[in-house]
Amino acid sequence: MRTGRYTLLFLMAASLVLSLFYCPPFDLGISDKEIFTYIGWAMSKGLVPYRDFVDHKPPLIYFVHLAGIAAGGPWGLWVINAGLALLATVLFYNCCRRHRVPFAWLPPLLFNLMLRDNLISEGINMTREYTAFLYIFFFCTLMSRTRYRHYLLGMLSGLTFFMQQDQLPALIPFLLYAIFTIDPVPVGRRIAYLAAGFFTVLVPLVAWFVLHQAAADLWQQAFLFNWQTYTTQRKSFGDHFRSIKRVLDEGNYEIAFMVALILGCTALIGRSRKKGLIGAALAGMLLTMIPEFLGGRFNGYETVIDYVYYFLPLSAGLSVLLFTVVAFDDENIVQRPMARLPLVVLLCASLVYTAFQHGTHLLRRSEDPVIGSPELNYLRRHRPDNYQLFVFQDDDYIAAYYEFRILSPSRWIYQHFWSWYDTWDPDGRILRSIGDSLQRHHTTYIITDIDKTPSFRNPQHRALWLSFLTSHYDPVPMPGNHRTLLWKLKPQP
Amino acid sequence: MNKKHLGGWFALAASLLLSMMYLPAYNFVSGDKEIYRYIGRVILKGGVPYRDVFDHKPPLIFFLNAAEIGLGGDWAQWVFDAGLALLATGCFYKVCRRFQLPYPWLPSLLFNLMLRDHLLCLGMGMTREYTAMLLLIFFCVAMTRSRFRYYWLGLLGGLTFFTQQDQVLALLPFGLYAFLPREDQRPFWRRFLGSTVGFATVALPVLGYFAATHTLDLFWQDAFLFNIGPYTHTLKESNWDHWRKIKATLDQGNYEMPAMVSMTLGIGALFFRHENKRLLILSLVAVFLSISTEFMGGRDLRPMIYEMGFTHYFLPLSASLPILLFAVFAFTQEPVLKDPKAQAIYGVLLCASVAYTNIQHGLHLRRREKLNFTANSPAVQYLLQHRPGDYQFYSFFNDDGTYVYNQLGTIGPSRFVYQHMYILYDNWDSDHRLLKGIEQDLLQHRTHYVLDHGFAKYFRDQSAFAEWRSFLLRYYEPVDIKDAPYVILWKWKGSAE
Repeated sequence: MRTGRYTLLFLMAASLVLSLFYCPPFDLGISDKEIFTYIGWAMSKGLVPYRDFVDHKPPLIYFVHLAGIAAGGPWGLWVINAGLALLATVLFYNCCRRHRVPFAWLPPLLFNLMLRDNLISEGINMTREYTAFLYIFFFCTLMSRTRYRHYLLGMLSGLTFFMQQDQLPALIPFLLYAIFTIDPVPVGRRIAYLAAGFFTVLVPLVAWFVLHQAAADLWQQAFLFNWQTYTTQRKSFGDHFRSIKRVLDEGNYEIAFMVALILGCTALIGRSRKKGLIGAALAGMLLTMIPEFLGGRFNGYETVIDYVYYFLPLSAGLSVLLFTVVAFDDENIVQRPMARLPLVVLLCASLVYTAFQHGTHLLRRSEDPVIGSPELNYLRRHRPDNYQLFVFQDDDYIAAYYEFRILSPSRWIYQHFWSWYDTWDPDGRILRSIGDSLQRHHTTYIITDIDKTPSFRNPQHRALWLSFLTSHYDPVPMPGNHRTLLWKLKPQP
Repeated sequence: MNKKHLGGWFALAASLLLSMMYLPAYNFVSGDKEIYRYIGRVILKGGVPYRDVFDHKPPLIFFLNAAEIGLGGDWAQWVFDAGLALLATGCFYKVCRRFQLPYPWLPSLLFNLMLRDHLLCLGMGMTREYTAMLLLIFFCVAMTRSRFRYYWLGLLGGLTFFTQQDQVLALLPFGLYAFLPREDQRPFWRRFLGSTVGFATVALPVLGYFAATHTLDLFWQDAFLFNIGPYTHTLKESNWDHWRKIKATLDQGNYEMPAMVSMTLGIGALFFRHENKRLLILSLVAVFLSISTEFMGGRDLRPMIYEMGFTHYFLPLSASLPILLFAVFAFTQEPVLKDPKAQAIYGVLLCASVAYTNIQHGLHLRRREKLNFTANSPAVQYLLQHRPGDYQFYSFFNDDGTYVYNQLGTIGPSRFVYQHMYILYDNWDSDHRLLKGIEQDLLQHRTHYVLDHGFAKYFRDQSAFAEWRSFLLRYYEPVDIKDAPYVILWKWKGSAE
């Protein structure tokens, strides 16, 4: 027992150290997170997602950021995130111990190493990081004997659905397993509990949006948009496959993935106690990668862009698969004590190396080329007020809104739809509405890179934006910067 | 077909198929290979390596290229290369069978998959590809009981030494293994004599050739002293940089999985019950020695340590890692490693990634001419159209420009066919004696065209750039060719079109 306690302490320390790599002074900047932070902050000022800003993520991530901002800003967010990682680690370790998994520390450690792999995660507080936590909670609940487990499973499914819808399919194999496996609770009652849990999340959320007259916007942007527009870009199956290989390889997930996949497959073929669960874990792991297949998102370059952080939920899927193999496969080579060591080394070595390299070469956030850019330094000296700065198609600069605690003049806070979809805004109506908002607020500064050709798929859109920009704004030259990024409103006559 | 040898036929077929991805029409173009070919042509025209062309490689690769050009050029090279791969595969398979591996074809297959990994190998015809095959054959010979094996070991050592000296280091552990006192009752002096005679079988004709052409001193200077001196001493990287580069190369070359699995099993087997720990340790040492080149100087243009310019330095791992696997699986006493099921799992892990790389490459083969950016450049097209004769064209600072000599079948005006020493070493040619020598050669031959890639940013010593540029401006004028931003084609002033 004492050994188990020390192991738990070691795991918690490892999880905390890995989370510390992303504490606010060192967290990596990426546009999505800046958008979530901005929306979380704007909600604290009374604004409502979807109604006052356009985004296509489900709403829970904004509420998490709202809570984080309320709890102390970036550090509040970090505490929530690191706390969830610790909770997932403890629950998963206890689950491993309860099922007498040899090397019970391995699956939780692997989960943390993969979750904090800087080559994949691109920092913390992304939606898929939270769904990875939820995946672990879901699995631990499934393996527990609590009488409320079906209710909790339903609730965790709801949380996942409203955090990042495309991660729900990864839970489906386990849901099916929970419904159809032998259990004293009758199937009908299990389904009812699951539904009740799901509604526990659904009802308050929907009610909140109804109360704020934004339910239709929620439906349009967080659901319809994802079905009708977001998934319309197509990549060939070969391209998807190559993307997966490339990301696993470059993200240093490759060896862990291959080892888990091969062990999972052999356990499924060989003699094992809970083949249904192993099958569900295998399917779950593969389904965590399903977002890769839900659209190409070529970003206008016509070359494949890999969205590496789509693969972050593999951290949970893979660790859970490993747990099922080690816990329930009777025939597998991992049951033999000596055989485990090479596999442990293979599973962890590359990820430990990545974490070590990252941890010993931490970059301060202030050293980020965007955060430390001459444009933002200029704006720090000329601090814009609410509605006086607009970031157009340079998403990483959205960080400026939260840094200056100002609201954007337009609800279109990010605009890469114009670079992704041929049919987006065919008559330029939305683009004009952005111009109208800027004129209405007499917005002083715009950050936009007009030389970034892939910004617009439609040349007419580009011409429209350029004509608006050049007729109302002047470029602000920055010493030592060849690109023109910052534009200032022309003096009014 | 004997069912017993089905695995062997499978390994041989895989080897042939993988070699076919580098048929002449699809083989990669690289500056190094063009230089070997150029020197091969110089030999056939009566010239002598080191005297008439500078290079710091040992001479066998030049003689091999000369022979291949004499026997039919690209196809002869392919037949030799594919044949050597088949020979190494067959020998290794036989050894694996003799030691009763459950999957005797597996190490041979892995060898071929790694050898033909297009992310690392730069196609066929590189020195380290040959030394990888020689290493595997050397190991197979070391494991035989043939009465001539010491002679063969010496011969293969000689071939390796005169193809790529640094790769002899990887042979040493297995040479040592063969010499260790075991059941071999032959006295040490006889074994030593056998090896010496084998080595001399290669060394004597080579040395005889250079002695007969009065170029022994140049041979010693360029192929040996240069490598011990400027090549390994001038550029230094920290151990961490080397380590990161190894990791990056293994990762991006898709060698990571076989390397990690083999090393983990190799090191793990040291702690398990094992019948032949001597061989196991020596195989582990050979793995490190096969990539020791990485530590013999930086040669990556600082600060771009991840530029991946020298990926082919890792090609010998294709032989040393399968050998290590053999040493693990053939002699392990540990049921976990002996178990065919466990070996099958490790087999999948070992081969999956490199098999994928080869399938992707095989399905997306690009013809040689499409891969050759130099050949497609407007400046080179211009040259191929105007066909300057011997000594009438010179390529400066662009190794790939050697392709033009080979296409035109001409000889360059200077013995310095490549010049990247000016990029690599701060103190190279500090008095510009060599550069002025090149200029003198161009003037002497009134060389018509210079394909110049020698921009200021490539010179470590800016005074050398100034010297070169002022020479060009004085005697040459640029040819007006559009869409050639990376090179300038200069033409002798006053020469008629």
